[in-house]
Amino acid sequence: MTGPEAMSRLAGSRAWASFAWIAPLNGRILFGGGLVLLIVFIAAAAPLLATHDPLRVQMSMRLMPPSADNWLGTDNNGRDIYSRIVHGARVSVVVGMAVVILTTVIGTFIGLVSGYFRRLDGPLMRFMDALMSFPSILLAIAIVAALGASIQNVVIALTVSFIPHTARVVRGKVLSVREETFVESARAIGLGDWLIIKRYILPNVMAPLMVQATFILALAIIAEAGLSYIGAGTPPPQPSWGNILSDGRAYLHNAWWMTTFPGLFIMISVLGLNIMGDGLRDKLDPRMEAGR
Amino acid sequence: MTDSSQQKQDQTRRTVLAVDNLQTRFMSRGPALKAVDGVSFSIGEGETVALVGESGCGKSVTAQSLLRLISPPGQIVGGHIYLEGDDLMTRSQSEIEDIRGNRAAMIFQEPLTALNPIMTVEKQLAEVLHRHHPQRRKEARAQVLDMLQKVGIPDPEGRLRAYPHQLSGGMRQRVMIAMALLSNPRLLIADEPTTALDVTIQAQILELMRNLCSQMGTALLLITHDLGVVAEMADRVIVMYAGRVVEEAPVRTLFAQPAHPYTRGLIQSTPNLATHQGQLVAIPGLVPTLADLGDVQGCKFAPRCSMATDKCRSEDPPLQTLGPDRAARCWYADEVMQTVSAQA
Repeated sequence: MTGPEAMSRLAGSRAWASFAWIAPLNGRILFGGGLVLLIVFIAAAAPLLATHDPLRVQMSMRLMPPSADNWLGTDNNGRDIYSRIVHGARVSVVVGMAVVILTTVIGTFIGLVSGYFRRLDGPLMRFMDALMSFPSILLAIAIVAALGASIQNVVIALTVSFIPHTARVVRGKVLSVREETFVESARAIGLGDWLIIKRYILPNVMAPLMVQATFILALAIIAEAGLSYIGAGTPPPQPSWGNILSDGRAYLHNAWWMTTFPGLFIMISVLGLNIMGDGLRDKLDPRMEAGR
Repeated sequence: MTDSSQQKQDQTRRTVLAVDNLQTRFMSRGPALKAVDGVSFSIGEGETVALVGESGCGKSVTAQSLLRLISPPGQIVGGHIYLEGDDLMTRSQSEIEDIRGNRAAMIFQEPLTALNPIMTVEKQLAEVLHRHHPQRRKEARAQVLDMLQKVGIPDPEGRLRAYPHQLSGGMRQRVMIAMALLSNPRLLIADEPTTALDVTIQAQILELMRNLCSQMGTALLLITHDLGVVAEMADRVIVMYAGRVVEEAPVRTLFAQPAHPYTRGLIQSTPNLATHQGQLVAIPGLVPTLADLGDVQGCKFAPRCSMATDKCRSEDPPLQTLGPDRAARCWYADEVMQTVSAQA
């Protein structure tokens, strides 16, 4: 019965044809992107997904293990860990997104200007090197220490410490793109520097920039958790993955769920972002494309 | 067309480009390198002038200097560039940008990389019109289509949405030509436009450029190291060596009776099936690097010249006028011309 079988397979492939846009995406982009979307969905729908008020203290319910009522257990103040993690996702996603957007915009601008106008390259890049010479997290701690712990200041601190990375990546790419003949040819048709940067250079540095952005997002989520863990991030009682972990530190021996579950969420989101970033890099790298 | 009728026509032509004592240097740690050292020439309306020389003789730098496309460490340090009488050296940066791609356009050697890989053909071409004729935005597509047709691109409608990588080398160079001619420039500078193409396509592209330029009355400055291309295309030839003009002559005269030993060497080192099948004569030695030039006293070509005398090695010859439209930078230009005609 090969005839009908082949027919149904054909029909099936036609049904799939409407999803043809997925084809150029590779498995890693889909898998990683799926995990990232899941986290973003959790953050967006937090009030609907939460089973308890994440801030409600119930001393009678301290350190309860996972149960039907408290799915992931409760913490040392009797707050529902699951609800706190779900609300904490908001902090991670908001901080992550804000850092990525700010870093990408500012870092790209610095990278473009520095790579294109050679006179500015020296001073700008030395300044970036100076920022880069501090470990990101130390620099962020210093900035938060100076400004005070708040979500806004965490965003500022992480943005400042990640800008040099993005600026470096962009500058490197600009240096190679600006020597291309099509840039000279753009100059020869009378376009000015800013128009050339906007229409010829920037679009050609987008690929590494996108990959960089996904990695920055992952780094920002880890760094926010790290800052919150040491008390330099999201101020309590507002939940964030980092300060839930931090609360659980003292109870590692008798309440494993307080640290395991927020840790798991951090891991899943960072894993998803990194897998997606790897997939994007392979997809967007012209050398990989040529090998196909 | 004989030389005399050619010359008469030249005199009635309006001058499009006049370059006077152009000097472009590259600033280095040591002394500045003179990439273009006092080059002067002019091109008339509809005329094709070939700029010839070995790699490193300053042809491309001259071409880039004409549109002031030289970027640091390069710098134009002297001379005048008159485009239809306007001195480009006195223009501001934004005035120069208004001229580029509009009154004077340029075609590059590598069509592969001269088009933005992420812009469609239509966008790329329309860019020129938007830049220089923003008020004619609506007609842009029609004009682009018209131009693509003129440069002989089959199915121009379909190509509008194509990206450069979807076109062959020859097609890309046609797109480049279309882009250059779109705003009807008075001067077209073509920097080795066919070097990257295979021979049959070369001939088509050259033919196309010649036809379009003569139709539109565009002056064409053709930069090449290929004497075959020169013989095919040019009205007049300027031979450059070490950043200077060493000989200038109408194309037929140049091939029949070169007046500079360097020109003669170039011609002799080109295979010619029609006349003789003997061994090719190579010019001994290499083009001196710019850094070495400072040390050469006297004629810059003397170290490679078979006719060089003590006078050549100690005194630098000026560019001497040898007749209407003819000049050579050699103490013994007359002897060179005679030996060649004796050989012929």
